This record gives sequence, C-alpha cells and structure tokens, in this order.
Amino acid sequence: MCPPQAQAEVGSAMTEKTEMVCTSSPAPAPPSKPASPGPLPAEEVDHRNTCNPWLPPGVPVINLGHTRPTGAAMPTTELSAFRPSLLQLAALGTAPPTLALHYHPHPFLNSVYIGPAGPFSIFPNSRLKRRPSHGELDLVDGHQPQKVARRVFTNSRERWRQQHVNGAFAELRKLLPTHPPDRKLSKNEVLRLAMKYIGFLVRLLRDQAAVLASGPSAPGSRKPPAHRGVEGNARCGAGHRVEAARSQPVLPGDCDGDPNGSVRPIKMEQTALSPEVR
Amino acid sequence: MMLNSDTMELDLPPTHSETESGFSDCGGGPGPDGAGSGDPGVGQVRSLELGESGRKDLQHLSREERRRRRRATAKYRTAHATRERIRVEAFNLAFAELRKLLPTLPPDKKLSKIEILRLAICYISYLNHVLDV
Repeated sequence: MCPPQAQAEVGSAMTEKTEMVCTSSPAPAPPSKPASPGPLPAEEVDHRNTCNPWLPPGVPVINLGHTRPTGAAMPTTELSAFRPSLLQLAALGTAPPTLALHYHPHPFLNSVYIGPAGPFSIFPNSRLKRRPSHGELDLVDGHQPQKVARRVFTNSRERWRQQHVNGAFAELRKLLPTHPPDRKLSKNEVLRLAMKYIGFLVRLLRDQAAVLASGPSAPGSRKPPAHRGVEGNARCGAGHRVEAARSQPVLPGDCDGDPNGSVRPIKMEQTALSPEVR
Repeated sequence: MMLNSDTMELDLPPTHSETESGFSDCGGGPGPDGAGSGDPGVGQVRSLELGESGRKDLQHLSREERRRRRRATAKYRTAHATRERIRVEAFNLAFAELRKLLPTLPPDKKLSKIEILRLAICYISYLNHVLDV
C-alpha cells in the first residue's frame, strides 16, 4: 500500500512540475489535481491510471533536456533540480522513495484527516447538545408543577374572594341599626334587615318629599310659626320615637307604622328625622 | 366575632349539625333515662370491643357512640343535605330580593354577590346622607 501511494504522489508531483515548465498542456492539469487529494480506493485506482501514463511522460523529460537551449534561467534551475533527483533515483532506488514519503505525504495526509474530521466532529456535537437539552427542558416543564401551581392559584383566589365577601357583610352590618348595636347577625339576617331598612329609608324620603311639596303652597306669613311648631313636635316625638326604636329592635314595626293615618305618618316621619340628625 | 361565627357556620356545617344533634339529645332525654339500667352494660361491651379502656366517663362515651351512629345513618345524611340545600336557597333568595331594591341601569342588570353588597352599602349611606341634610 505505502509504496504504490508514494509512487502515485511522486508521479502527480512530477506531472505538475512538467506542466508548469511546458505550459503547453493546461487541459490535463484539472483531472490530475482532483485525483491527488482523494485517498479513497476509486481515487487510488485513478492514481494508478495516472501512473500508467506517467511512464510515457518519462520520455517528455528527455524532451525537456532537448529544450535546454531555448529555456530561460528559471527553467535551467528547475532542470538542475531534476538532474540531482534523477541521479539519486539511479544511485539508490529505495532511499529516495522513503524520503519522498516522509516529506510529501505528511501535509496531504494531515489535511485529508483533518478535513473530513472537522465537520463530522462539529455536527454530532451540536446535535447531541441540543437533543438532551430539549429532553431535559421537557422533563423540567413537567405538567405536575403546572397543575400544583394552578391549584394553589385557584385556592388563593377563592380565599381572597371569600374574605372580600365577608368584609362587605361586616361593613353592611355596621350601617344597620340594631339593639344592642353590636348584636351578632347571620348573613341571611344581615341581608333581610338591609332590605327592610332600605325600604324604610325610601318611604321616609318619599314622604318627606311629599311634605316639602305641600309646604311651599302654605301662606308665607305663617311659614315661620309652622316650622317652629313642627320642630317642637319633632323634639317631643323624638323621645317617643327613640323609646319605640329601643322597644322594637327590628325595623318591620316601623315600616308597619308608616301606612297608618295621614297625619300620624307625617309626625312619625318628622320624629324619625330628628334622631338621625342627632 | 360575627365574622368568625359566619365563617364557622359556612366552613363547618358539622357544627350546625352538632347543635341540632344536641337538641335531639335533649328531646330524647327521658327515653335514655328510662333505659339507663341497660345502657351502661352495652357501653362497657362496646368500649372493650373498641379497646378504649383508658376512658373513665362511660356516659360520655355512650353519648358519643350514639351521636356517631346517628350521623352515620343514611337518613341523617339525607336530612342534613336537605337542610343545607334549604339554607342555601334562602340565602340566594335574600340576595335576589335585595338586588331588586337597588337602583341600577338597566334595572334588571345581573350583579355578583360582592357587587350587590357593595352597592347596598353605598345606597344606604346615600339615603342616610340625604335624610340627614
């Protein structure tokens, strides 16, 4: 294997040199160049084929000797280089080939080994790095943590909502009058008491508006004494109202009282206003 | 205080059932008294079977045992479920009625429970303010 490869490489080198010197046959150059870097058996066969025609080029070497008088100084130096190589080959057939192997094959072999190895080593590395990373990421992103996080989020939101509803119930409870003021009421009782209290306030406001509407129609001269009298009555009635409220902690009684006689409802409403003012 | 009681009622229905079971125990007072002679023996046998010899209060144990058995019955569970359903229905009905008293545009706009409560608070505050002026 080694000897034929060395011979092939030497042949290729010789052919290149001959081509440069002659410069008369540029066509054969391309086929020889691609053949040289190929270490594959097919390429080796090509080298052998080139070896066969190499023997004929030996004769052109002699022809080069003929062209000595026509060549310039440069060609002469090259020819002198050829002469010592030929002499060495003639003197020692084995030594020159070994030297050629040591010098020529090293760079080619190195390049041949490094060339294909580079991309092969790079691509697999990148692929290996990417694939396990994807797998690891998938494992890390497992569905279980997401489910746990969602559950915790849902529980927190529900707890937050319940706290806000209970807070609103507490605020509403503070606005409702009861005896004693800090009496405990269930949520249902808070809602029903709020309904009754709103109904009571709405009726009170409506009746007050009606009284105000009828008030302006009265004569102007009597207005001041009427107001004074009303205020006095309100003050007296306030005490009774307060007592009534205390005796009846639930507002329904008050609501029931409103639909009574036209005169009494007015007085009751007036009495109701005073405690609120206080 | 009130919040705690409310949360207890909502979060721990068993407490409600416990109070009711207490009432039922009171109602059944004379019955057990009449059969007092037989119960202690049965209680002792049960305690031996359960392996709870450490307890000294046999009457208390017997009461707990009765309570457990009463609660475990399907009849009791059905009654409890029915009672809870009625309570929730009344609660939601109260919310619906309160909703009707609150002014909104459009009048029949649907509101959540928290919104109904907050709107009721604002409305009552407004009415009080108008009447005070």
